Amino acid sequence: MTDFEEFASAALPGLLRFGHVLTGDPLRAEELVQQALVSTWARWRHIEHDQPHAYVRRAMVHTHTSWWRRSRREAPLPAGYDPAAPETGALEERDRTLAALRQLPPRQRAVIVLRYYEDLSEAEIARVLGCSPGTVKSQASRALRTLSTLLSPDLETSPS
Amino acid sequence: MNLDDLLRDSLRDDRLALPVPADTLDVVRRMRRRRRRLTVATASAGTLALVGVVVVLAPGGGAAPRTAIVPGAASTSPTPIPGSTPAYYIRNARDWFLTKAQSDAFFAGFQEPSPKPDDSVPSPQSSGPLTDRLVAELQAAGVPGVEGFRRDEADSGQRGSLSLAGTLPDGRQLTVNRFPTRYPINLDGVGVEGSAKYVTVEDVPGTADAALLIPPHMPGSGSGSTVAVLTPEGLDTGWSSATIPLAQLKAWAYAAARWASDHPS
Repeated sequence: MTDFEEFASAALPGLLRFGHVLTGDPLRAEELVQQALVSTWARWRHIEHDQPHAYVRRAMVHTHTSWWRRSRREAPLPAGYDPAAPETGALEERDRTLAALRQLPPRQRAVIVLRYYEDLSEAEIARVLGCSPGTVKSQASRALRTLSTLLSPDLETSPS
Repeated sequence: MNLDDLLRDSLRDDRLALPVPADTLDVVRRMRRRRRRLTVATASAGTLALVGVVVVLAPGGGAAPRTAIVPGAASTSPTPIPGSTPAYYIRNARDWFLTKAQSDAFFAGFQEPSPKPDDSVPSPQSSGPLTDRLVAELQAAGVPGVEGFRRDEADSGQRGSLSLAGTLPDGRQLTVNRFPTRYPINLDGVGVEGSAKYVTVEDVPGTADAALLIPPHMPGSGSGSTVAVLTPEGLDTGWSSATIPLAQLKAWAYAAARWASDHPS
């Protein structure tokens, strides 16, 4: 097994989960990871000692953004999704949160996932996305504002 | 729970973890081999396209560069694609759809234009005349329950990008998006590489529009169907649903396009 293949094998579970959150669809997540790994493999000599994890995530975000721009099609909201529905449990609350996340543009969604799931700093997110920390900050701010609006019933009725 | 905690908790939900397919690395190896072959083929196609442009331009002797990308019925007033220099011209609605070779040649020379700073606005935006017009088209097409649909005039934060989404009286969900497209659509990259063999392009009867039909279960597009209707000016109206059959989406989309053609705003 080559160095790249060892890297890919070890990184696959995390990449699939990252892709699942980005796309909201397990099959698209798998295709997204495959395409990103092909791109990463093509650049492996240049990145293997520097930031392969950041590179493959960047490839996923760029590919997903490109899909979204070309087709404007997103995975449908889960059946029964209603942002105004009363809270009925933790799972429903998570479903509403993930559905709201899916309404964000791809790059804002990526910023939120990298910040709240991967626990990356603004500088690290900027490196992954290939933009400035200021852009990360503004994207995060917009995303959180939108999410606050969409999830206001959960935020107001849940115990803190 | 505050928003930070809600996001951390939701993104760590175990249901988001996916099983690792045993053949992923094999698939990646095959895709890599295929991409290497495509790179060679694309380089050849790009060279041919470049030669074609030179041939077209040479007789003009300094005339404005002008290249038609897709054969089709000539229009008296072709529309240049914004930001493309030398200009690519759209002569009819079908010209917005490119084959892979045409798309590779186009995007090798021109980048997708970035949105203008003023185009990015908080979403959702309250609805106005543009949304009212789209609602009228859906109603004219006979879509039931449109009055209760969620409306946004800045879908995904982009000004002028309309979204109507809601549940029909029978419980099925429908989303209709409308936005001015600014670059051609690669038929081989609709959601996933190699999609050209799944999708269909056809004229919308009784109008100057063309439609892209995306069937359910196409790789990379999930389980739903989509019908996208483009006007010659590039106004893209997409009808998507996870459960409504493609034939029904098409019937509504075409009826709405015919009504819009008969009732110009």
